[in-house]
Amino acid sequence: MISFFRKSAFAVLLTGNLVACGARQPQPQKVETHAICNAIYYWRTTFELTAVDESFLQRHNIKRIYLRMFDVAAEFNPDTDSYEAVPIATTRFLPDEFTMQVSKDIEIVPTVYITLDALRAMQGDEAKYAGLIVERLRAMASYNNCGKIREMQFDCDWTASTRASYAKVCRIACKSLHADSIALSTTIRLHQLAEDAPPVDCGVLMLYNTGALKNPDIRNSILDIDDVRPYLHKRKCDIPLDYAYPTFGWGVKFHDGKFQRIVTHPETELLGEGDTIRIERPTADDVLAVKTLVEKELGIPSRCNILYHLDKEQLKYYPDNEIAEIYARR
Amino acid sequence: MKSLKYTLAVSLLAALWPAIPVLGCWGPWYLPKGYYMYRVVDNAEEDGAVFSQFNLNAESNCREWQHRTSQSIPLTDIYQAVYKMSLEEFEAFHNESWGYGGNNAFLKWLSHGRWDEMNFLLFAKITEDVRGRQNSRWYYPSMRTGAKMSLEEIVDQALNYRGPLRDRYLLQAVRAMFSLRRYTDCIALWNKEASLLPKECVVRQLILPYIAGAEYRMKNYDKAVSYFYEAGDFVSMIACSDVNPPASTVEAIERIYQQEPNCSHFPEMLQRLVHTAEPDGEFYWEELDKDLVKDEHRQLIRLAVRIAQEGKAHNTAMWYYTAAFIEDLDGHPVEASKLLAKAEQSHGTEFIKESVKVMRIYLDAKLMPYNQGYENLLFKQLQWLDQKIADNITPKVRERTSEYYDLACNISYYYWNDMMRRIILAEVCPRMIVSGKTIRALQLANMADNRLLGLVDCKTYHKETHVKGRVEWVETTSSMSEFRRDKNMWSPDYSNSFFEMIDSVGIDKAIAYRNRIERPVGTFDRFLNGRGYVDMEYINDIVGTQCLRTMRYGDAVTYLGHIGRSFESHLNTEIYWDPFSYERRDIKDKSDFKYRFAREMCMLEQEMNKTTDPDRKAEAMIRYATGMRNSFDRCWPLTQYYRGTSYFGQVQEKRDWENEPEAIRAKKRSTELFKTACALFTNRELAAETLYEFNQYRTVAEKYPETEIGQYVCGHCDNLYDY
Repeated sequence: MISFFRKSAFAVLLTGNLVACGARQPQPQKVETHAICNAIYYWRTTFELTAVDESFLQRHNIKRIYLRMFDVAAEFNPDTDSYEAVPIATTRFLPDEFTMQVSKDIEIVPTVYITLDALRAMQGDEAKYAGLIVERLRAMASYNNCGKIREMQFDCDWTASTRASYAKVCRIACKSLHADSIALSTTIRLHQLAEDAPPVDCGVLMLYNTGALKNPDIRNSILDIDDVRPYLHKRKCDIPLDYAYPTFGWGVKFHDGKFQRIVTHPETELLGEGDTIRIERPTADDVLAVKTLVEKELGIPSRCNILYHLDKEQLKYYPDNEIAEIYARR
Repeated sequence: MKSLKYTLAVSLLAALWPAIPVLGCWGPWYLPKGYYMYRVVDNAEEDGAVFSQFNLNAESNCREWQHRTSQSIPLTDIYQAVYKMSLEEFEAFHNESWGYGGNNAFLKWLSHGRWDEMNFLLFAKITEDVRGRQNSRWYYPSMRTGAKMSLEEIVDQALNYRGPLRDRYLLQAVRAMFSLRRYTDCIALWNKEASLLPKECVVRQLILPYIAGAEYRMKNYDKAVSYFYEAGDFVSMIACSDVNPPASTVEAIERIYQQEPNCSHFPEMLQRLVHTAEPDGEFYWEELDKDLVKDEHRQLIRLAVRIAQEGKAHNTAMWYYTAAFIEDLDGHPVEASKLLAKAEQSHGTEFIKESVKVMRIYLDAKLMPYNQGYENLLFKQLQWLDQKIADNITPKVRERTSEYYDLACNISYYYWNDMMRRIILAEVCPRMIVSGKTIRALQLANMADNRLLGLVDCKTYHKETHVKGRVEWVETTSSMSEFRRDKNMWSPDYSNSFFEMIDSVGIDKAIAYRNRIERPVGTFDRFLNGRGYVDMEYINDIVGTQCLRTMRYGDAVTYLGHIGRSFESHLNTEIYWDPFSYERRDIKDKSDFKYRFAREMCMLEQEMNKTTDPDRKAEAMIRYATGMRNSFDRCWPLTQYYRGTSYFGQVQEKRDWENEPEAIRAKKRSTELFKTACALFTNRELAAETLYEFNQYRTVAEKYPETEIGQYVCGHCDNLYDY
């Protein structure tokens, strides 16, 4: 009897400790995130700001640019006979004489896209890769005169099975960044809303690419309010969120119902027998409808609305007043 | 190869310096048998030594720059600017080239507004700098690290260049793309543009290895093999043949032979392979490596003979020579000799024929009976080899010889002299000695050790110099005779194979050799004496010292008497203690110590023989016995040349001096003399004093208690432990 009691007590104590560990998982120390303002993504491989871009930024009082610096992808290394995470598609910064300067009052948020395969390749080495990613973002920001950095952002389509690994990367990166009073944010896809948030300071809910691109039966893979709605009721992710809305479009080409490719200029694309192109370009009304829904379900954005992305060829389809409405905070 | 080993060993030891300081000046010493002999490719470094054998592309590239600029610009200046200047240095030059006031002719040429070339070189240095820094794919040039561009930018900029240096910019693009692992892009660029460059174009050759590597990474092994072949990189070629790879280098040679019987890369492949079977004898105290000849080498014998017989290859002699060489390594010198005879009768380049001739000298030394006929033949062979040594000395050989280390350690660096040393020291001398021709062996060994030194007649060393009260080590160059007599430096003449031999063949042989030097018999003697170091003071000192070792003091006086006092600066030893004192006592006059010792021992011998007074006789005997004993103990420089710091190499370490017959005999004789002398004393006070001096307290107390010394000993029994 005595023996049983002791064993049970030990088991209770042990379980209690484990639970406590889980509950008290250390969260990164919070740093003050940036001020409320309009923001936009810059998602190309060459950073080249034109006068049109500059004008757009000024007209809409955009004070923050989420600038993609590079992608992290998994690549096979024959030397080690294994896949490893490597940076690819690093953004080139054109010399000053070929580009407009970013106004000094615009904040740059260095952003990195991490593929799911890369995340898998990082497993077990999260600390190493977190350090490499942060160091590289710092170096790129410094080298290319991106001004004072207050925030960095990780973009990753992590899933329930890879969440833990992503969380590790974020936690370690956060620790490093917080030492310099830099916040870490992450993109949150709709399906990730139902998961625990990664240990970051804040998030950006991606309200684009909501549908299955390769499915010929859907109406619009970039934005469809019916695709968005179901996720909004499952929110578990409890970090402050901003919202990112699409201001772009494309054509999706199918042949006999099978996905072929994305077509940048669908109007000039030649179609053969069996070819079809699904034109996708959310209208401002589409976006605003989603905005209304999201704000109703999740509340207003913590700091800002963000457009995806700064591309004059895409933004020309959206008049200033529509852009202003998308940005507007109620 | 051996040089590389030596470098590695020295580097390793240098790295270990704090841990094992005793090994600080220590490197491998090879046996003479360890010289590489197989030679189908000339590995000699070029005069001036701007480019090593491993840096042929750099040489070609510099020549291309010379062709592009001016033939009057020395290659060394181009090499310095292109390969040696750091990015920072070149950038500084680039920024202020108009004010360049240096001596580099290439930079001067550039400074005259050659912006295309200057910009390119800056770009190339940036490329290499970034590639060097980017050990990781994660590298990004930040302001802090000071790098100028990213690899992606380098690729773009290089590809956008459309000027006269387009080919060189392509090379930079390929390098950067390769570092980015953009192998497909590398290959595409090759196919589209770089492969169209003329085949003789240096830049094309520089691009080729990257393309071969890219094809390999893309698993296009056939193409990779073909490019590696074109680039002459056979090691990579063989290594990357993943699709049906050749099982061995020999199989690879065979495959290439099927396609190209006269492939220009065969010699290099053969030399690389055969060298793996040559014992290098590192280190001398170890046994020579055995069983180095593997099945692959034996396969090469069969292949080489087949190729030689088929007649498709022009250089037939090379193949027979190769087969012969491995046969000998495999322990079949007779078979080797037969194959070599075929090489001698076959067509071959002059270069190969000379290698064949060297091997014939070597095989004759191994196989022929050591009679007069062979001596005559050897004389002719050595005359030819000696002429080769004299005719082919390059500045690099001169430099390495004057440094002496490589020569002393039997490191392969000058084929002709290496071969002379290997054949004489490893083959001929041991057989000569066995055949009773010790004098000839000594003559030959002397030539082997000293011929090249005599020809170069120059020694560079660091000499201790006092400058304003400070000691500085100043690099000094002097003739060999000056160096040998420099009292601050060790003489190499007590650390070589000749010395090892003469110091161990016995006193009678040494004397006979000495006499033969003085009175040569015939042209072969004169030939050998003329090429050895036959300074009579040096030889007399060796012989005289051996006389002291064998207690032939009269003879010692004779030989040592021929040596002037100035010869002491040549010695590698000096004496510190009085040889006639039982106690350790400083010697008052160190000069001429061997001669004076020999003379005193002679006088004592005479006194011992002539005097009839027993006490006087006993005193002389005691002094004589003391000198004899000390000459093998603390005053060892009287009989030996070892134990000193001024000794270099492997010679003396092989001897166990404590147990040499002469040392044992001398100590035994010394003890006997002492006992006899003690028994001879009639003056009891004198006897007691003598015994007391030699710490024989018990004997003093027991046999001479009534003497003054005896009473003293008995009164101090607590302090005198012997009692």
